[in-house]
Amino acid sequence: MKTKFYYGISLFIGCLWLTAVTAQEKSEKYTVSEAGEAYPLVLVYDRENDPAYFFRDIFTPVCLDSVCKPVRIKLFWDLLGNYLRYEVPADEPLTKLDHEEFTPEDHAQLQAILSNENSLLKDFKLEDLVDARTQHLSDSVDAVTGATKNTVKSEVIEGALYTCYTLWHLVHGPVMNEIQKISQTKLDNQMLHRFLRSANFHYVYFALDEVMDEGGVIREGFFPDVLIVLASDNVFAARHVWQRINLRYFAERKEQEELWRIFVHSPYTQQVVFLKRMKQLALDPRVVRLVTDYLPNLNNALFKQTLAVLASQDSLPEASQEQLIVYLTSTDKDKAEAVYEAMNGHAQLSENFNKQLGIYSKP
Amino acid sequence: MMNDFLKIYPLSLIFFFCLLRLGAQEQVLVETESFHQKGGWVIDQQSFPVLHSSYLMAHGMGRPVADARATVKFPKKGTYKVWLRTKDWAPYPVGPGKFKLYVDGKALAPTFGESGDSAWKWYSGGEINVEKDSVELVLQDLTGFNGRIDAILFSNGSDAEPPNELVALDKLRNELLGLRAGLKEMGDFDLVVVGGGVAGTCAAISAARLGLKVALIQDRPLLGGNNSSEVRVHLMGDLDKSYYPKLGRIVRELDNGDPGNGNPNAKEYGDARKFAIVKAEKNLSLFVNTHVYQAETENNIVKAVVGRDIETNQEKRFTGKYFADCTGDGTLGFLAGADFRMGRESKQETGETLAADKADDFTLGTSNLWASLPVDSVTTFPETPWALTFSDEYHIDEEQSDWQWETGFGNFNTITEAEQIRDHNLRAVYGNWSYLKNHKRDKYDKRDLAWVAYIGGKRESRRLLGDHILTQMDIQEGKIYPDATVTATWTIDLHFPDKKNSLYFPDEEFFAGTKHIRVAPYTIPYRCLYSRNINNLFMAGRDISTTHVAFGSTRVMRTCGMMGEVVGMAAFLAKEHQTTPRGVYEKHLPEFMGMIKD
Repeated sequence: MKTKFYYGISLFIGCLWLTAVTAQEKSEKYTVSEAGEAYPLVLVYDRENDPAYFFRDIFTPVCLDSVCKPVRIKLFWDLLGNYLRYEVPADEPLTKLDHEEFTPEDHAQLQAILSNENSLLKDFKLEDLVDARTQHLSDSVDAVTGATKNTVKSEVIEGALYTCYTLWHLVHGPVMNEIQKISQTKLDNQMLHRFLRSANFHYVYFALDEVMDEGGVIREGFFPDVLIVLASDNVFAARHVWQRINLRYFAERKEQEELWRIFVHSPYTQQVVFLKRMKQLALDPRVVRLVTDYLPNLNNALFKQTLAVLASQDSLPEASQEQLIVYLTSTDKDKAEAVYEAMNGHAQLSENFNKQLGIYSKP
Repeated sequence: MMNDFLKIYPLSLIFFFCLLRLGAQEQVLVETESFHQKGGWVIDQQSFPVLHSSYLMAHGMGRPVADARATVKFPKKGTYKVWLRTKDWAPYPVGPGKFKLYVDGKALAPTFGESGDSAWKWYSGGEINVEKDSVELVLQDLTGFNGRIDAILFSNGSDAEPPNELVALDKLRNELLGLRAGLKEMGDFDLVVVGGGVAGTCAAISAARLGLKVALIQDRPLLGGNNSSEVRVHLMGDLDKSYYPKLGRIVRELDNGDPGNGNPNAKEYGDARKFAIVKAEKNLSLFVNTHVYQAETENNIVKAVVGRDIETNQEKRFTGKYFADCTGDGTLGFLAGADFRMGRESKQETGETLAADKADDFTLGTSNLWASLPVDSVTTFPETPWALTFSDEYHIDEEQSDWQWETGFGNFNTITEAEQIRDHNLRAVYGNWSYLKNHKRDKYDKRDLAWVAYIGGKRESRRLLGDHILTQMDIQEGKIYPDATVTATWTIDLHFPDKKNSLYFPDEEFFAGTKHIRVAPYTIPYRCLYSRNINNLFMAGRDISTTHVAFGSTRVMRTCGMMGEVVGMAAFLAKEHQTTPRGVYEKHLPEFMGMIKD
């Protein structure tokens, strides 16, 4: 394979200079060397003067053996080296077999292919992509008449196999590390705050790793940002936070109330995750009231898990106990039994509650 | 006179909207699958082993389906308490399967299917006043998201909740529907094949062509099983590498070409072709829509099986000399007391390098495939808070499913929790599709779900044990036993949860990975195709006698079809020599192998 870009490459940052691309956007140009060739990598700032993204202009031959065709394209990455998108000049469109131009569908597919960091293209060598028994090269390098192997068929655009392959390896190649190295030099608290509030989940996880240690202790000044992640739509990031955060942050009433507010507004699956760990908290009596007030909104499964949180408390306020007693005589037998099972034997119940538990007879 | 009567009152009404007088109490039980107009509701029998009944389901892929209707005769006018047996299938916290029941045009007050409780049970619908001899029932689906209902009970004279416990419920059904009393003898057959998938269909055709009188019993309205348009899995395993070219001829007839998995065009799967081929066999009687749930045995010999029509609830009894379990689940073998195995053996037990370190309950999963198609205008799909939750960070950016959409993996039992598996698949499909439609609008605005399977494509359940248990070593060493029959070519293809899917949905995986262990074409001994302890029971399909590891290769459908062909031949010889399946191996092997080779 004679493509010219990757593998066994040593990279270094070349000279760096600042330049104003437009009146609004600041950018920094870095020179990166790869396989003995230097190319510029540009970091663009946003209007608030914060680092925003990287891009690279590429004019590259797409080659197999000695047959090559030129491709001009601009590739964009975020600040952690995750691929974002590409642009091609209007007068130099991407082409397929027989110089046919990419259709809008081909562009959509190429974007999907390049966005897939786990593409099968990762593990294949170029020569593995076509069936050697039937391979023939014609004038165009994508014009391989041999059947593209079934396994990668869905990972490439028909008639543009080499383009897909070459671009995927450019996008997911050593440049990613290079970008991360540059971004690391820009990393400060402001960037971490920005990352934690970002819609880009890569930024969120990156910043969480930076601000939260193994014991779930959070760097000073970042707790409000972490709470935002806990309350975010990204249930996976929220779960990640809740399973790791040190519970000392929820020792006081104010934070417990905030936690309960987040619980109430979270999707069901996340509520299940919340309840599992909430048992370890000593809840403020006023928060216990919030919990018992909310019981009527829960289905049987969550009702039982919430009762487990209540049962784990050393004591429960009188009003909450009265709310629970009502369930013992409810026509909803499942809920009555759940309250009995959870609370019977609790050491700090009112006389009335103990009496009602004594009267309760299992169905 | 009788014919006129049938025209007026469809069979289902006559037999199954029955009543019982218990002292002063009158009860009328309506099994919803017997509604004479189903509208857009579908019959689901997949959980029969658990529920002992089929039920109706509103599978509208998010669009409310057309109403289902029934006319029910009442023994007596007056006030009746109404009970509906239903569930909330996705109580997270409240499911989407909402529906109403109308009695003579008037809706009962409750909305059903949103109780937050996933258990099947009776729910009160309040009271109705019956002023005529009969009333019209209408089931109105409100969402298109798989609301379901098993039965409706009208009762006067008592407010007591009907039984939820299975034995008492069976008794109630039997009494009110007259199930056993109406049992019909379907005939005496040389070979009764239970299961009309590719293996069972091939077994039945093979035996019928050799002159046996054959019954083929299938629990769905279509033939082909996983290859039918209800499931849409393509046929795999090569036919052209067979040691015996004669095998595979019937499979070829049934093969409708390869449309891939989950193709949105139902016709690609050749339902009509399969029917036509079976119907052309004069010795073969086909019984569709019949779920076999009982086996009558005597001295380790199956004498008869009893099935129930999944729509009319007509009970049917089939007697036979030989039986073939082609159910996939090993249902007949299980009912008859055949030795079986489920889950994985340990390395120590089998000596297989690919076996698990410790034996466990892990099985390959079940797929509910789906596909979308482009449409002319922008369409919407609702948010699905009750489904699995996806985000930019994790979703499956696909317009159509493939085999990887799979739930099971030991998280669920593929037989006793088949409903939960299917429902988990639906929550994955709908949750992901909702994410794509609402958050990736550029790509998905003009696409609609064209098809989502409500019948699960099951890969693994019981394996019935024969005189030989095929192992990894048999496969990889290419052992050719004297009774070598079917040639198999598929890789050892043991699925596991996709690593990334496991990370995001621990213990709730719905997406699979695999590692194909390539094999040279190898043969399956005939001794894997009959039970070692039920003396007249054959098997063909995924439930033959193998280890879990070997099953990973034998389970594909062209290979299963060839097993069916072999079973048909063996049944013929067994009858010819008045012997057992084992007797064919022990006493008539040269003749048997001659048949296969010729």
